[in-house]
Amino acid sequence: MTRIVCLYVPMFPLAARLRSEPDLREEAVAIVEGNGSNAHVIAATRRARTKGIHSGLSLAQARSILPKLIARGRDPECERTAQEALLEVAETLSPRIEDCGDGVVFFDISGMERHFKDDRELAGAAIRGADAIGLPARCGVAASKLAARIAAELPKSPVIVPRDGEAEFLAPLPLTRLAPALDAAATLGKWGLTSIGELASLPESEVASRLGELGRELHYAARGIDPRPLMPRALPPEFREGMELEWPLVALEPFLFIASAALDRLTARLEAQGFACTRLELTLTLEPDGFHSRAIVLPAPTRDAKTMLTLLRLDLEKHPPGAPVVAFSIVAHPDRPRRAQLSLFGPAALSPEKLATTIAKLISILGEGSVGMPMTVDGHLPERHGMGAFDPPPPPDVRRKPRKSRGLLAVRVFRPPVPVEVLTRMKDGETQIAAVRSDGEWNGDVRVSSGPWQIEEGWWKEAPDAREYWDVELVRGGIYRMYCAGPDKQWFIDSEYG
Amino acid sequence: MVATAHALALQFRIVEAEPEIEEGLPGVERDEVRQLRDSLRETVKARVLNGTELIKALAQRQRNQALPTTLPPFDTLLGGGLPRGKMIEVAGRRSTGRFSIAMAALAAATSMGEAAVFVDLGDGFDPQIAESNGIDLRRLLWIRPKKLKDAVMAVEMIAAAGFQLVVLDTGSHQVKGRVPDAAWVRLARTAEAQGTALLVSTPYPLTGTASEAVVAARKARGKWAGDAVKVLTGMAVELTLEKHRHLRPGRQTILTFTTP
Repeated sequence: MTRIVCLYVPMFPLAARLRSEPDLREEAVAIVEGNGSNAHVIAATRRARTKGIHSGLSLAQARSILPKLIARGRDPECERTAQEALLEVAETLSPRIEDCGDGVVFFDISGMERHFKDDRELAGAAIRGADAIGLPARCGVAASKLAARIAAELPKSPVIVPRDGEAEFLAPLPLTRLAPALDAAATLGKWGLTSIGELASLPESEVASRLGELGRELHYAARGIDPRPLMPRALPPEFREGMELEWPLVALEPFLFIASAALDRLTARLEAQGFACTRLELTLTLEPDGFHSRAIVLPAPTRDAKTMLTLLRLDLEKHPPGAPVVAFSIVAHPDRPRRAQLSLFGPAALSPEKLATTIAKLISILGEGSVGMPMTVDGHLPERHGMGAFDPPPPPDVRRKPRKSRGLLAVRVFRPPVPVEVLTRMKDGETQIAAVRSDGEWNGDVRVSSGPWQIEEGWWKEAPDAREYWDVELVRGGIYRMYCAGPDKQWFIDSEYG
Repeated sequence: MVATAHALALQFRIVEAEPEIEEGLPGVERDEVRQLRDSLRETVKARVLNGTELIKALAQRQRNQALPTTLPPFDTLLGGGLPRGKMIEVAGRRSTGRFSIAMAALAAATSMGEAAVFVDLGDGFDPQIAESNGIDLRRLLWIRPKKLKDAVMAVEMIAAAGFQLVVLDTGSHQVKGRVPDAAWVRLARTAEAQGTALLVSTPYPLTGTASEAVVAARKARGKWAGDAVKVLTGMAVELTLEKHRHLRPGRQTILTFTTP
């Protein structure tokens, strides 16, 4: 038998706002909708309600009652992220979730009997999960969505409707609970019906003939039967947090203070789903108009909010938005975090997350192309090189002995090659380099020279790279590799032995 | 019981060195384990460790092992190789074998399966030559800072990430920029805290008192073959132990390199 849970957040616009600004929880706060004289209260905190503020009052009326009332406008970004967070709480309990918006989520818990002792324990877990993300939720469990929703709206949460007891549960409730937004309740009131049970006791065909398809649906609902089944949503491809700011921000530090809280919420949501962030996208809404978007690709998935904040800071320092910021949204693209199996007897393995965050910080400080794994490149010219993402293979289970060194002479390359002048001489019919002249320290007579060795690359091109290489040892010390290239026979030192 | 003791002895024979275990590690030995341990013979009992003790013993043993560069004269000069948790400086002017020592150390570490870092301030690293010198490029992180300050910062950050060998090469001539002496002290402390072997290759001494040892490389001469047409076959360099906290300074050795 299907069991549906409804998670319901009362006064959702207020709850979403307080989730983003938790400091306001103990204050007298009202959420208002509309502008100017049309601004009216739609929700207020308990402290404001005790002073007489209630929904429907205009902002002017509310201020006359409570001059110190903190008024906040509805923030769609806050509400959207709070709704996403609520959906993620439901996802920890069931894979079949329906998003109804405005702080209402349904999920199917059929088959969860082995994980929870009873429905009440599961409902308690859902409420605790919502509480952990800063949303005070109520919970109802029933066999139909409507009964679960009505159960969740009742103040004593959680409310568990017994199996096959939906009709009995709904019967004593007033008709306004059935469809509060519809005028049908008033029509039914004129017929002398006051409770849902009275509607359910009428013949279905009679109700349908008088009220049409809507009447049939209401009759179904009154009997505890859902007119529409649960419609599960697909998993989101990204996680998003953001909010509108009360006043435009022009400095980086205050913005990072707010962004830090958003990143904390984001990483908590990623962690709850077993994900880590592999790409971070920041969109700033600017005043008076325009957007500033930045994307930060992380070398490996991470959930470290501190690192992400550092990367945001470094990126915004390099690329400032150029105008005051009035709203922001941060999107995290999820990926599975990397795992490392530690070995007792092998070399110490690097923590993938720690490595990723360190490399990301280094790249943001030193720049792209400055940190990575060296790579060889096909070709003949000695200066060729490449750099890729550093992703070392796991260390061996048992520490290996080091490979015996052959004591090879290494070469330190100069990027770019150093232009020099060369004096040659003939000895025993062979050309030799006699001296090297330059403005720098590569200046002096040559003790031994060896060459030339010819290299040619790109013979199919109009101007192939043709070089003559020489090894020279200066009298004053230093062994270098030089080459002569180009139509004007320009000489360069491209590396140093040692 | 004898069979059990024999099996345990075999199991833990892999811990070759006698581990120095503190007596009475708090809260790690249950009564049954203690009774079993007490019933063993003394020779076996000394080798039987629980999981916590084993991990500590292995970590300590690894910490005490130097990281060889597989260049025997250089390793002998330092008493076995690059000590873990210490900073070693090799100072020498151009073509004095510093770069080859660094490549040999990286080749040895990566061939053991360790991940290593090369912080290349002089931007002189060549992946082709490194691979031919035996470096496993997949296990090497190459960092190319522009200034000494960035290089020191990178070494500090990367050592804290758990790399077992970090090589900082400051180039072949004038070092770009300056850092305060305290930065080297901080580097040495980071290396010590993480058990990282830190090799600093500089054209002239930079690390001051912070390093465990300073090796000076001098009097390099190329080795050439052939009469009329010469071919470079290698290089010989004189290494001097200028300073060491535990060994007598002044020892000298000749290190020879050959061309591939």
